[in-house]
Amino acid sequence: MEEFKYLIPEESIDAIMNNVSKLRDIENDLRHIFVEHGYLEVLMPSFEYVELYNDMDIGIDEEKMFQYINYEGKRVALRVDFTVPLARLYSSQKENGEKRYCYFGKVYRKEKRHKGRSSEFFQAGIELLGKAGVAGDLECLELVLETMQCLRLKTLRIEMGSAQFYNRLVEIVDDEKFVNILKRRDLSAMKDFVESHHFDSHLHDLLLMLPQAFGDIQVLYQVQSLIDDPLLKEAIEECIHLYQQSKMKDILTFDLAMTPMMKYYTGIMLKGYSPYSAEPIMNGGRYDKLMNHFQRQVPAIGFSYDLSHILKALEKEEEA
Amino acid sequence: MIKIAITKGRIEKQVCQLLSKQGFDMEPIFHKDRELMIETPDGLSMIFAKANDVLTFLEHGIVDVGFVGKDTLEDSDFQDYYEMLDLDIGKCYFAVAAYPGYKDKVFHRRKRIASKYTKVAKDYFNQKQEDVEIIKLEGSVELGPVVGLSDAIVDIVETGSTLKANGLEVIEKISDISTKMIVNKVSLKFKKEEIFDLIYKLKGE
Repeated sequence: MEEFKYLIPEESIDAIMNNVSKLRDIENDLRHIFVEHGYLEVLMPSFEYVELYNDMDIGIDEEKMFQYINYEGKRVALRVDFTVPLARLYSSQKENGEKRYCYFGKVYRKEKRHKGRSSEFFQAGIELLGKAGVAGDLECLELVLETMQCLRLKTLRIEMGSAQFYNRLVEIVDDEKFVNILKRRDLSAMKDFVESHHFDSHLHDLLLMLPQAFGDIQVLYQVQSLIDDPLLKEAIEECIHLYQQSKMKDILTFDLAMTPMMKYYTGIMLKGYSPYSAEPIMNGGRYDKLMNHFQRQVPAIGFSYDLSHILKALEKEEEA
Repeated sequence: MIKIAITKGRIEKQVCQLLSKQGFDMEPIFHKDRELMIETPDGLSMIFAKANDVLTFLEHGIVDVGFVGKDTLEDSDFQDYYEMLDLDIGKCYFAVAAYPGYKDKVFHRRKRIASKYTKVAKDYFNQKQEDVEIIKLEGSVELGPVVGLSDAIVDIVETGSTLKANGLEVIEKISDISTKMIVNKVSLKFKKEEIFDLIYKLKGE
């Protein structure tokens, strides 16, 4: 067994040596801004009950969790996400007031071997609990804008979607096949789908253009002209309002075909992209229903940067 | 520039012919020797790879667009891409096949199913609530029943002639297969116009 002194398990990522100081600089800049805005840094535990995650329907399969059975016979997993444990932390407090938390740390997700995938992700993010609607959305957006400068990436794009728009559309279309078609942005299947239903002409046109309903603010105006439903209208108007209020108009884009990664999203959803990262470098959104799992009605919004992806993108951007 | 990965072999030929028909200059591809990476005069950077590797390259953002069969997509655990266009070529289907006696045979044990597409086979029998043992074979899966290793197979059926030549028949069709154009999710956001331009041309619009 001599060789194992020299090897690391396949689940491990290689030690990061080259850019640790850069990573720490970014982390510290983010921390500084979060704290300045009143976000309390929380060091979260590494182990959580698998049941906690499963009950919340967070969209991460059980098989992705590093698990063991503890002395109670309960399944325990290495932390796979920060939002759910932070929601629990909030619920442990007696009053429902505004709370601001920020966190830095790794999440762990099992991956298939030999695919070049990583099982550890270093995240930095915030959760803003108890601040509803546009006021909360704006605070979150402004924080994204301010912290994005810390990432040192030259080309960045923030994209906004709406879970309210998506949820209402799924309700109107009322056919389970639709969700899968939209997720895949399958133009061929969408055409067949629309042709096999008798939607009114506006909905018909909307569904056909939906897979490409992303880009700058014009997309929202285009879609706005095709909808009559009050809830859909409200969702679009909210996005337009946020755009008008926002100070980052030049990098803010929209995607009305964005499907919620997690079922608990209820309002706006956010993603951040670099052309040098094959995956989003930032994810977030409003999740007003998550706290219902803890018998509380608390509006909430949050986002997190994936510093592992950001570091890789930085290296690639420098090479380019 | 769009970076494209194409599944080597039949899909490569059909897709390149389709692109050529739609006005792309594909001469460098048609005259390639053993190069694995070629740039066309229209600014398409193409690599040629095994089907599963097309997905791997797309996952890692090495390429923006991939051309690959639905069979490969269905058997992969990586699902985080857009499957934007059905090229309507390379059509065939997944099916369960066995000797004719399979249908009425009463099994007093778990059935054994041989397949190269273990995920497709597993999903199919799960959905039928049938517990079976799946054995992975890498090729000539028809050998499973022929040599008595398995009771049936799950495989791609194109003409059915290999099945017939070995006395096997389609027991049930599972799903349709054709060649798909898939797109990396981040690439679509940064290269919207170029990618939709390619899509419109492929659709002949």
